Amino acid sequence: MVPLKRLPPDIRIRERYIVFSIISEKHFSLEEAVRTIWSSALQLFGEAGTSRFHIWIPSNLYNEKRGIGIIRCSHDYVQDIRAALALIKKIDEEQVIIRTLGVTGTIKAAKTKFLDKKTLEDFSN
Amino acid sequence: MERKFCDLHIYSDLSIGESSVKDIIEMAQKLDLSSICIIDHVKDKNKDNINRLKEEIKKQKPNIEVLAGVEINTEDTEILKRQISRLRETADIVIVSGGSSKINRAAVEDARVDILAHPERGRRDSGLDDIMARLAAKNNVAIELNFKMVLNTYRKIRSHMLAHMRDNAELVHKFGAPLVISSGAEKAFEIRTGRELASLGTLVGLELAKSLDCVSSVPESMIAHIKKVKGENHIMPGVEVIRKKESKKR
Repeated sequence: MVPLKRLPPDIRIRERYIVFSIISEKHFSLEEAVRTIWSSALQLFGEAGTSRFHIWIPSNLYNEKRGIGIIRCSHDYVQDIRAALALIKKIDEEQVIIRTLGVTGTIKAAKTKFLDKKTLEDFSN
Repeated sequence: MERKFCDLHIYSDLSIGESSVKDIIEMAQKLDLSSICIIDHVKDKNKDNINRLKEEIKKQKPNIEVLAGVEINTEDTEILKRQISRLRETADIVIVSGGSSKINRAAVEDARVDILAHPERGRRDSGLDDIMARLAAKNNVAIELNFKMVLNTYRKIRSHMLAHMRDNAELVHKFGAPLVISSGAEKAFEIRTGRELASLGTLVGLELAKSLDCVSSVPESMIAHIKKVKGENHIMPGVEVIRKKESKKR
């Protein structure tokens, strides 16, 4: 499959990057986190509602040890995704709190502000 | 200016909760809450633990502001009035556990009550009408949106809960009564950050700025008011002592 070319900026959806952190006694893999976040959003807003959010959770930016990751979404629905994250109680019968650390407009800002990537070397890996 | 977030409705294991005061304070610090209120639960007859709760809070030496409040849970308006007059002095925050129409009405009629919690609990309607909302505005009784009510319910019940909360938020907004959002947490893992609590407000149709006010400026001004009333200069509503500064000449 050849991917489409990127849309011009005025037609593209506006994105926001929500940085979340999982507070728990255990560590969770990316798969578990993604599954829980999606099911919570689907339960609260349904399939049609969630389709508007354009959720994408980049796997390379998830840190399993620290439990910190990024959700990309449409900029109109940041609060709705916050609500879906707040209503998560458990991942695999283990109590968790998923809190948002902040919302940024670019991945770069999310990395420098919340993922402790400050120098050029940090960005290369 | 950065917002400070408050959560005025958390139970510890000294009342009906599961987590200790220490765990709650630790978690609240982790979640960037600047002031919390730990609630003692008083039913018709049982004695209150509020003094024990206060001692326990003092022992922990918290870095954040921790208040000790009381929630009155009864079906009888007479008992409610008696409990309010008995506990108003000792408790920082007085919450009335809403649900039945009589209690909801009695709570918003009493200016000594700070918060009417979950007026929609266990009902088929929202539990508030226009008259009650007007009374709440007049007596400055805050109506609460309880996050736990949404967190621990699913599907049909959660949907009804959100619908009732939407009705209440609209009514309260229309008549200008204060609205607070709190977690109602029974264990440390049910506490949420201020912005997450505010997302419940946007979920039930409030604007973002308004729902952020419900977890920051509204409870903050409530705490400031209570501190003023409890201060030594306060005599009765509208009367307070203003000391003259001594002049330097004599």
